[in-house]
Amino acid sequence: MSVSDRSNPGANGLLRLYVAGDGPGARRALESRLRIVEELAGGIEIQVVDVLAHPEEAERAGILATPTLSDESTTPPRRLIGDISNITQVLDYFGYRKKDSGYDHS
Amino acid sequence: MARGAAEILDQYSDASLAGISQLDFRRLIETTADGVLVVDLSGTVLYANPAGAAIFGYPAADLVHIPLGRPVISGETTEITVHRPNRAPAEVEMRTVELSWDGRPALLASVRDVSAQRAQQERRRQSQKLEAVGRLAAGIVHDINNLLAVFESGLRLLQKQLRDDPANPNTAILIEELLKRTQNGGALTQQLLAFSRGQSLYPETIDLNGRIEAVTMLLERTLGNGIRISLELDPALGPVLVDANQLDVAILNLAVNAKDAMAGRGTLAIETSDTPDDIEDVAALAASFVRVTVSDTGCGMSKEVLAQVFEPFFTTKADGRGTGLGLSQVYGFIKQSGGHVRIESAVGEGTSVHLFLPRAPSTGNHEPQMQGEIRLNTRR
Repeated sequence: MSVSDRSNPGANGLLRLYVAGDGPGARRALESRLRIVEELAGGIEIQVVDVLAHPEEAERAGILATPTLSDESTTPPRRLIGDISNITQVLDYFGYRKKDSGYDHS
Repeated sequence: MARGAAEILDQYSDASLAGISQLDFRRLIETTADGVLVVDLSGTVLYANPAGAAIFGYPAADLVHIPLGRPVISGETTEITVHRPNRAPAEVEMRTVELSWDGRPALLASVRDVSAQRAQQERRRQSQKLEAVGRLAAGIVHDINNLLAVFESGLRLLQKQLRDDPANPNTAILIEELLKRTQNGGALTQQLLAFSRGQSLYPETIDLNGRIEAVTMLLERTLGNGIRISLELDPALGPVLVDANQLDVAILNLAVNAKDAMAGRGTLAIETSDTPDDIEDVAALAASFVRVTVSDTGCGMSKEVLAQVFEPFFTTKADGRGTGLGLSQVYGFIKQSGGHVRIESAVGEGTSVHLFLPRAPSTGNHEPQMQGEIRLNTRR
């Protein structure tokens, strides 16, 4: 997978996960979120936004589909839509390194 | 667009497609019922066919250049929810593959609106549940009838005692027992309510022997004079973790079945054991259970009947005498408690129903602690 590299991967450490309600898709995404946070051992914060509870936030951010994992520190925001259970793919896309993995994606 | 399609064509170089013009390919994509989106690697929409644009609720031209986000690539279809302006969200299946678009790497997402199918599945699940609620309601009618029989005989006994010897201490005990049975009735309706709301049962740590003794007191009257009740309760019996009201109902159901099998004459034996025999020949399994066995000296059952006894509505009783839900309640209770049930029976030799009930975890002063935990885990 090719991604544009970051000069300082994970510098911001803040992502947003947009989900809709508490259906199976949302639950899976929330489980993946926990695994990602665990994987990076505190090097990342992922805020959860329920677009059904806060439609205005989703509209402001221009979220068309859920689950969406979004890094809003970049313009345009860097976003991943769909199943985020493949953590390696997710971390790779957002330019984070796995903790102690020695894995260099750049 | 046309160039992109041509590149896909080149990749596969299928001879049968060689004569088809780029315009035809364009029409194909524009008219297909499935949504097609091409997104660049940073997640910006490069192309959306009309079906794809309709799923997202935008004209195709407005969707292009929107930073939608990069669809996750996986070998399988994933499900997303699409939020459209002024319309209900759509449940959408998405499958993403890599392709080259306009000479650059990009992603092709095929999207399909499956909201109608999902809604239909949900309706089917709901109707299955209603069917089960109806079945349970029928079962509760059966149990309430059993309870009414208990009340009737209890009240008759009370009437007799009040007439003969009002000062007899048994009178107060009997009233107390009948009051407890009203809780069984309340528990039955709660059970229906809990099921229709999808709540779990409420297991608690109980003294099985004490519970059996209390139920037996009323059974003596219900079963009639021709039936003797023999209790063999193991004094070393440890506490069990089950729903107490469900246990009462199960014992009541087994006793009523036994009474019918004995045609009013015989012995109903209730036995408990702290060291049950192996369950399904697994010795280790037996260690976490205690056993209660309800036996009768009735007509017994053939292998054919035995094979069906736990099925809801299966009954050998005449019309209007049984619902066929008694043993299915026993089975449901045992399974929900995490226990086991075994029936031994032969025609003319009576029936023994062995219930293996899970032991309560043995920690010092565990009771209040246990209940707290169970409430958290099983209620709502």
